[in-house]
Amino acid sequence: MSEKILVVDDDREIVGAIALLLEAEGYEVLRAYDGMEALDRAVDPELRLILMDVMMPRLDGLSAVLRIRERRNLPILILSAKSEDTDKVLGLSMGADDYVTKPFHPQELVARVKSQLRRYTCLGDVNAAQSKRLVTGRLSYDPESRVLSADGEPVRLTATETKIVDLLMRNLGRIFPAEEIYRRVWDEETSYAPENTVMVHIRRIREKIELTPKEPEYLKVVWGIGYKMEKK
Amino acid sequence: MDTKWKKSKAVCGFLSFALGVSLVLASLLPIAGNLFSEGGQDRLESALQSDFQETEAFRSYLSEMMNRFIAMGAGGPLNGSFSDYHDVYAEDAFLIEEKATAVIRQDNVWYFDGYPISDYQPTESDREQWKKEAEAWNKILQEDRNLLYSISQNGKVLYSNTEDISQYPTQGYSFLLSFDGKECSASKNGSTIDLYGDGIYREDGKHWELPGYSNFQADEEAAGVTVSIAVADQPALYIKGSYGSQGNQWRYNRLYYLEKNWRERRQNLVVYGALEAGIGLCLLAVWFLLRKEKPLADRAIARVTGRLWFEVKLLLLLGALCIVLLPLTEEMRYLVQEVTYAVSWDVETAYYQYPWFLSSYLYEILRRPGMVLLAFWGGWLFVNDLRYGDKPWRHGICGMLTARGLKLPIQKRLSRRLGMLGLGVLLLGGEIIFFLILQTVRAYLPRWAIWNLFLLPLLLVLGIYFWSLRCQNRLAMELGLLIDQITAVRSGNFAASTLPADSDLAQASQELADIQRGMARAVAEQTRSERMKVELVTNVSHDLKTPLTSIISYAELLKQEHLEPPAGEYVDILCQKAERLRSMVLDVFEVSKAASGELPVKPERLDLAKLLRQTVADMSEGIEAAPITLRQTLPETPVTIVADGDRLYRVFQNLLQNALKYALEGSRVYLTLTADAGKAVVSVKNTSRTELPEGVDFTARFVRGDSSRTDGGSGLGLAIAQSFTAACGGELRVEPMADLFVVTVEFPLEEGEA
Repeated sequence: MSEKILVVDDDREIVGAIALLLEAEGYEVLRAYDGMEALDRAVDPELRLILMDVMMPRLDGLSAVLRIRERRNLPILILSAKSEDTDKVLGLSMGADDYVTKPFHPQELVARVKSQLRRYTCLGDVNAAQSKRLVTGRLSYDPESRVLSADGEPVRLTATETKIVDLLMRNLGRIFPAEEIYRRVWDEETSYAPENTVMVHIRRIREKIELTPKEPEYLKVVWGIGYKMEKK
Repeated sequence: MDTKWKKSKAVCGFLSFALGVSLVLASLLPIAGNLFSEGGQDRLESALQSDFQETEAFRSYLSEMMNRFIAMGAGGPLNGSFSDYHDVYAEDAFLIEEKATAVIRQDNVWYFDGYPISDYQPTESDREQWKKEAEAWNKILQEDRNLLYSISQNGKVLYSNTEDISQYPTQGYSFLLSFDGKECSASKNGSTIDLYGDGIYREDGKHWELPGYSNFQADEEAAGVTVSIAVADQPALYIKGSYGSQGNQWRYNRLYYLEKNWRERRQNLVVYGALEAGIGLCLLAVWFLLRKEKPLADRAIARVTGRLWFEVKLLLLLGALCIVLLPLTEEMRYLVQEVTYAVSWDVETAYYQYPWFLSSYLYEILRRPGMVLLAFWGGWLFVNDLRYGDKPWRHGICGMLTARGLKLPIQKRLSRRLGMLGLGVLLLGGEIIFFLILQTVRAYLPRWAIWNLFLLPLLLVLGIYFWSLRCQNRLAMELGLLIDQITAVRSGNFAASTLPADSDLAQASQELADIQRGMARAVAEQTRSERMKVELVTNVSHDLKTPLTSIISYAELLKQEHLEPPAGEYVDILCQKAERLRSMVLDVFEVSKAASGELPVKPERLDLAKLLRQTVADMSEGIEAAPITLRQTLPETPVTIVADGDRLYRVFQNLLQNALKYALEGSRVYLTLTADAGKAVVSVKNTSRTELPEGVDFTARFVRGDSSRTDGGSGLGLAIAQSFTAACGGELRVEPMADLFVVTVEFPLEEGEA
């Protein structure tokens, strides 16, 4: 059974392109070209996810999100040409689950859609089964089995990477200087260039857990200070 | 119609005001003049009595006559002075104030104020002489019907000017005074008058100066004398008198003149005064009713007086003041004399005189009510002119000079002012010389002329001095204001006020204000254009983003079609270029935001050395792939600065990417950080692959070292680096030296550990 996704944008070509991309991935796509239309389509009980533009005639995207949120609990992704942090915060506070800025990479968009859908469907049993899990956004970590899952799916990590993830996930939000990570992960006091060594591993972990490794959301560098796992 | 009515009301209001004030003043001035004059209070008091026989003058006159008649009866001298009284006619009749004992008898010798008085006994010839005088006096008084008298000794009538004194009082003669040898008694219209009060005589003018008090008694020589006097109610002129033989008319008709003076004074002061004051007050009431319209008239008068030069008005005012002040100078002279005398002789008389000084001065002024009125209205006109006139001091010689002076440049104005001060000094010198000359010639000049000749130049000098002092003061204040204005311009406040137009520095201030306005306009324009630019860029980049989204998406879809070559290759190129376009649009957006200062930054303390190491580590793949070697010289110790780490990462990322892109193959790129003298300095040096053009601002947008290059980079790398550095509070400089491309980034060091 294919999952239904509603794509809303006043630019028909964009809707068409997104529909093609998503249909190629096996989803069924509903289309709407303004906020009012989106409200009509959103009543479909089989609908699993909504992609919503912000600036649209008749009813803007944020208002539409607010109204849909009153009735439906399903992931909503905002699509916007506005890239300011304040715009993102506004969109997320209106009840959206993610924010994708235009122009986006088709792969990135697909990855985010998949991520949201997986989380939406897996969320229930993840929470019920393991209460000891450490969760931040779409990442969850089981400290006993030392398994990191992204959107509910286990991520394959090397031994060193697992040690780094273990350290950072146990201390969500705390900033670790490269020297400390090196000392605790490698169990060695000094290295010629800890920064380089740590950075290489960080980059690899990012490739496995981040949707857009070049613009990481979770495993972040705090420039001039250290590294941290973002707490969400 | 309405205005005409209003006008007439104004005229009425003014006239009633002027007349009312004049009349009230005219009625009050003589009263005030009397109040401050010697004996004036008594005159005022007597004027208020309804009968002249109640007045003090009458009392003292009648006392004097009675004493004389008693002396005549006792055979004493007629014009007995005080010493005569006690020596001859009445040994016991002396004046003893309870406090100041004037006469004391000790060992049968009389002492007056501590000095012994010779116990003089009149001779027979003296008595003969007095008798003759008494008879002559009696003869003169025979004609008099104002005062009827009869003097007897031991029952025998000695002198009299009436047949039978006992028939009085009769019609026209209601006042009687008699002496029975020991005491006096008086009656008017049959009712007795109390003469002695508490029985002790005091020299205060309120007591009848008659024997019979406990401290003023008739002696034994007067014991047998009886005197009766009847006084006419309406005295008339009876005795002609002659200077040749008897003396003047006034001397023998004192009662007549006494009554006449009292009547006239009463009429002037009380009747006319009350009339004037009443009419005046009524007029003032009219003025009060019309007080709202009166200023119209005041203004009209001010318009008329406004045509006069201010200097003329000032002179007139001075003249009016002279009327008031000249008596003062006279009084001052007395005072100075008194004080000098008192100081040089060490006595107290001057101090005793002092309280009298002011009142006598006031009397001097007030005794000329006309002059005072003139001075008053002169002063009123002057004040009215000042109040309602349109800056009357502008109209005049000084005003014209000032108006012309305003057109001069400031240096001329200042030197002219100094010239005026010099003139003042010269005048003062002349004044001193004049004063010296005055000492020799003052006998030939009237006093007012001397005063005016001396006072006017002195006033002029003082005027010049105060005027230049004021100018100087004002100049100093305006300088301060100008400096404030400059400070305001300097601190970016473009709304500061300018100096008034008549100020010395008005021109400078005005020009400064013009600069201010120009700057304000320029800044406003710049801000507006900057904001418009940002809005434009925001809108353009938004408008670019939407079609770009479609382009990227459809290119990606095409790619998924796996087209045959060469179409597949074309699609790859399309994807690459679309991606380039995307990064450029994002970069342009950020640069323009940073350039207009709207880039949000989150400054925090960070270690710049670590940031550089992290950046290098982050870019290690690209660095290793590039055909160059990176040489880093970074201190091991933390280099703490305050900046936004994310932005700073973009700065060095761009700088390093630039270096990788443009460095000569096989060459070395140097990245160094030094912390010295409060500054953290990062420098990125690389040898350029191509020749660097001269005179190019590499941080300008879309500028590249080689303008013909088309591959890679939006041309915004350095622009982003530069604007982000500035947004973080640092400074980025590009210093190309021949083929060596050097970029330095400076940040102020933060004290303490990170």
